[in-house]
Amino acid sequence: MNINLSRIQFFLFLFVAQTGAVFISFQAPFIKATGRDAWIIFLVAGLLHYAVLLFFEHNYEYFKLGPVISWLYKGYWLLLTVSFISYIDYTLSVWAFPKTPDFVVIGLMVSISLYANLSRAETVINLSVILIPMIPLFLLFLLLAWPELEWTYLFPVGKATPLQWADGMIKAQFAFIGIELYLIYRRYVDKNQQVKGWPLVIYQLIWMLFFLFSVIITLLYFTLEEMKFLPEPLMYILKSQHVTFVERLDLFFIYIWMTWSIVTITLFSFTALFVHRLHYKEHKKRSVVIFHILLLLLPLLSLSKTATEKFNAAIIYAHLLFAIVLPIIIIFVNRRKKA
Amino acid sequence: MSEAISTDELVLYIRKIFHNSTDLFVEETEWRNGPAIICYYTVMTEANQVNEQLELIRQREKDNLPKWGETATSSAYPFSVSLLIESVCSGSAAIIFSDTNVLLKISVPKFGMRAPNEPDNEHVIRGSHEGFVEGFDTNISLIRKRLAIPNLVVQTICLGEDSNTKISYVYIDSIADEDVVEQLKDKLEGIKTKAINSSGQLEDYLEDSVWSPFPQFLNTERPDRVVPNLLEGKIAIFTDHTPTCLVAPVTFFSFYQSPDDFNGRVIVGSFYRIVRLMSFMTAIFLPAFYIAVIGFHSEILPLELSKKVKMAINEIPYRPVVEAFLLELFIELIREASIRLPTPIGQTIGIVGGLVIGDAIVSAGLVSNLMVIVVAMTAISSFVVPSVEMNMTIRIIRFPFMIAASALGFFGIVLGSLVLFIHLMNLSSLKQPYFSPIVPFDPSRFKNLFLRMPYIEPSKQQKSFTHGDDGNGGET
Amino acid sequence: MKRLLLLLIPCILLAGCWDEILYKEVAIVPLAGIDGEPGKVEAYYSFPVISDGAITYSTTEGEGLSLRDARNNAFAHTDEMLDISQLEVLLISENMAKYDLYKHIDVIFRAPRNRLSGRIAIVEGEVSKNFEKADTLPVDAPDFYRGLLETSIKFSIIPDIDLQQASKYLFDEGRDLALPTIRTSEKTGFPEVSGLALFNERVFSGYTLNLKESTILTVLQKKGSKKNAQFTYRWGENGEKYPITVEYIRHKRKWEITNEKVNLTYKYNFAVEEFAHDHLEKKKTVTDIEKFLSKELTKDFQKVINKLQEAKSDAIGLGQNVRAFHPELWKKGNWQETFSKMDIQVKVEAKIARTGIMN
Repeated sequence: MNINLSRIQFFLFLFVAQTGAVFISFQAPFIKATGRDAWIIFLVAGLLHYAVLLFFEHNYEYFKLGPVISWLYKGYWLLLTVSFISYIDYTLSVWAFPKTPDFVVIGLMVSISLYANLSRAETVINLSVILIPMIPLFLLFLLLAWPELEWTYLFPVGKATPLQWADGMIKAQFAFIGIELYLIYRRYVDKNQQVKGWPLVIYQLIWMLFFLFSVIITLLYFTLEEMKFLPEPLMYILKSQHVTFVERLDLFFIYIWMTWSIVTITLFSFTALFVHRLHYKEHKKRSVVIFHILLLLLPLLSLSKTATEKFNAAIIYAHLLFAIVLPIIIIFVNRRKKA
Repeated sequence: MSEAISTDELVLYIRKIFHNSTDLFVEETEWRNGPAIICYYTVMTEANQVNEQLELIRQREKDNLPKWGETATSSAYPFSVSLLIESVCSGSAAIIFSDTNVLLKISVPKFGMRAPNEPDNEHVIRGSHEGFVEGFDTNISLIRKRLAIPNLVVQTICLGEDSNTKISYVYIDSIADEDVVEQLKDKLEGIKTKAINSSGQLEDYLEDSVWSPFPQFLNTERPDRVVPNLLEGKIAIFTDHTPTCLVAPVTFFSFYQSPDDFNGRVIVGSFYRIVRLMSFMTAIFLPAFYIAVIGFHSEILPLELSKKVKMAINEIPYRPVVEAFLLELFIELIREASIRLPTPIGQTIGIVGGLVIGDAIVSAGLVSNLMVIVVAMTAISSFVVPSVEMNMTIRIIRFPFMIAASALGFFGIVLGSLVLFIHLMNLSSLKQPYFSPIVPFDPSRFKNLFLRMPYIEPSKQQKSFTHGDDGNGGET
Repeated sequence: MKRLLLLLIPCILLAGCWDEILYKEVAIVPLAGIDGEPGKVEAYYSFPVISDGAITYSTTEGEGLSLRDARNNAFAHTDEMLDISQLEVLLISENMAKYDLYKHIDVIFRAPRNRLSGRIAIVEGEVSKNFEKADTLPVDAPDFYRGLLETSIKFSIIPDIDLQQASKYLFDEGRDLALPTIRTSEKTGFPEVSGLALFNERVFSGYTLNLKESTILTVLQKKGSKKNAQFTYRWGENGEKYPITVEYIRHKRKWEITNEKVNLTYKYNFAVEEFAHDHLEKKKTVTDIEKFLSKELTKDFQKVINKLQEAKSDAIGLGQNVRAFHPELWKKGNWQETFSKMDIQVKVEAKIARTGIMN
């Protein structure tokens, strides 16, 4: 199977994969770990993100997956998707579906991913388009909180301890999840379109502004005291907004977020199966179905709140290994081979 | 045929072939070199014209022209029974010279033909009011007169063992994609069937996904709608004796464009195009949304509205989804009943059904008045689509959404829309992406979907699901 | 693909409706009240009853260990499911407010269905009275209470605070909550807004502001609309007294905070609403009035601040700035204590910017 992406398709894919499941759960642990300096720490983490992107852009050609390594990656993506699903399911059951059995909610979400993955590859690649009208709407409604933002909550600045910095850098990694997809798909981007330079900067800026905006608006809206017991602060902001035509904005946005997450799950499943197909060409449909059966069964094992949280915390370290350390090793090994 | 057979015997033989049909004319006539037989269906051939043509041909023969049989309406062939049958059945007169074994075919057909009036199902306010009719020649002439170029190609193929229906496809050679034309040709040739009765049947044979609720061919009876499509590189398919023309490959968004957009002013056209696309949303989601709110998420209603809603639904005995189905089916009944009836009665049914029963059903407490508003809004939104086919589609697909909403609330609607979205992205029309420019995603072309740009800039049909690929698309 | 679709539809159908809450089966509660003391919470719910196509409000009550427990007990004598997800106004008795407020209303923030744009008010006396009298009000009780609070907010008599902001200030160490108080008017027998109840951290301090003082507090506060705030004084010239009413247009605020002293300077632009003396074309009259207003306002503002200090309630939000920019002062100890002991001076400079359509 060969795919060909335009620049904009590529970046949209990457953006949705990176933001998808984490963007409402990312702020709370991050701010809890870093305190009022969260936004500064995130700015620095953002620079790191750009550095990683630049490194990937220069070396993506050397990133080749052998069968063994690709199995590792497939396992990682499976785990990642499973952790997303169990988090989404937990959040949904708290916010919207306290009484619906978990396997139904998970089953329905996974079946969407299954349907998309059984379709042609282009369907999955362009699936993110459905989110384009929703993302600005989401940000716009968050901005409704403007009059209630308290800017003194940003101060005093520069009080974070080195420990907080270290912890913050780790927690900021949640926003990096999915960056390894850059390496996977970069080689399929239209050769006639430029990616290096400005397009990459613009992508970095959009990514950065999106997360920074969410961090800052959370910081300004809540006292640090409140942050400690609000796991999904963005939803809470929306919940307390008063609009004339409809109440409970959060309800709509929990579904926007859910669409976002389902698309993300589909993208990661697609990536895992795509990498699988690079080495194993036959039984295409069978592997898709098997992968999705795993997606359905594994989250059911880890559905309690503590398990979900532990799982999420562990994912960070898996991410560091698979998105940063392993690619660097692979790239250097391949470069040396070539040299 | 042996020379021994006399003319009389031949006449009898021909009568036998056509089962002594009373509208068959078979007579012997004198010719310079001997007898000839004239044979035609009186109901399908203009007898006076045949006479005139015969006079002309006799004159040409007298003048000893080498090809005296060949004129603008006639041509000579070696005689064969099958040719005789084909010519007579298609409305030509056959002149048989038994001693020279020549069949002279004179085409002066006479059919009942409607005037090219504006089609009833696709009205426009400004612009051309012509419509296709049930005859092939008139239809092609309606297109040719709008496109006076030699590149306009008409190809004809006969399908159906019994009906022998002429299917013609029209395209502009310099613009249309060769692969797509080739593909259509292959598909048409591959059709094995006894009879083709209508373009709807043909559509079934040609569509990539027959089970999809979405039409993959644009049905139209308006030449002014076909012509811009041809200029965009699309192919128009005519079935003989059907006024409906199929246009392919199309995208989802072509169904939401009307010639009115381009006849009117830019801003007006753009506005109504956006209104139409919004109507797609309301037509599909409104009843589902209402059901979800009443059944699951009543807390989103502002207090003022909430009291009224509460008052309206408090005494309704049924679940919202039952209520909605009741009313939706009722509206479908009114619609279906008024189509078949003559216009004056149809209107009466509409009024009686809509007003009288609608009012009574609310006061009887079977459905709430809010539900009446919702269903009426939905019905009106679905009629906004300028294509009858798409209108039906929308009316059908809102039912699954209603079921989903009643089972899972907004969650159901979200899942439903994702499935719908994926399905639309998977669809293809003649193997070309149906949901272009969303797949492959190309933001630069979005303005043409929502706005009617100041002039028609014929844009090429998107060929492949993959970005930048000029291959033959379609294959998964 | 089609088979999958066909599979999916019955799947959704079979999925059933576990979380369905049919709207006709719930009784929305737009007005609720809390009274009692910790461990013995009395809750009052006003919910609509539909009979013969008209809505009337009925009241039910419950008692329990907590607000949620009280509601659950109330179910025993209600025919529909009480649902506080559409709460518009929450009334809390004075007595109840003297205990940690957040402890009682946690359930409102925790349940996902609830909206947080409702209002919260403190009732002088017992809450039960307000519910007993609900039938006699000219309009439906929830609409009445909401209207009452919203009119006062519109004229900046009380600050615009909803449930979410209330909880935010309960948790903000640098700013204290001031909630509107409602009492039953002696003349009409209807409820009316009587001022603001000042909170010290999460507890009602017992001090209240009257309407004039609460307008001043609204104008003093860092944030929030101050539109339509009006002040009336009697101005004298040559032994004659003329009432003068001015309306707030805009202001500039300057806070000078040092470790010992706080100087608050407010510069207001006012529009003259009524002034029977007329002749505002004379420069002297204008400057006279400006001086007079500055003096009177400074006096009244200072009184309000002194009262806030007495109540140990920083409802202005000075603490937020102190926390952000004056860490030494902040670290002196509990901010409310520090606030009450500090020397806070306020200075008001009034300026007549518009005179209305007459001079």
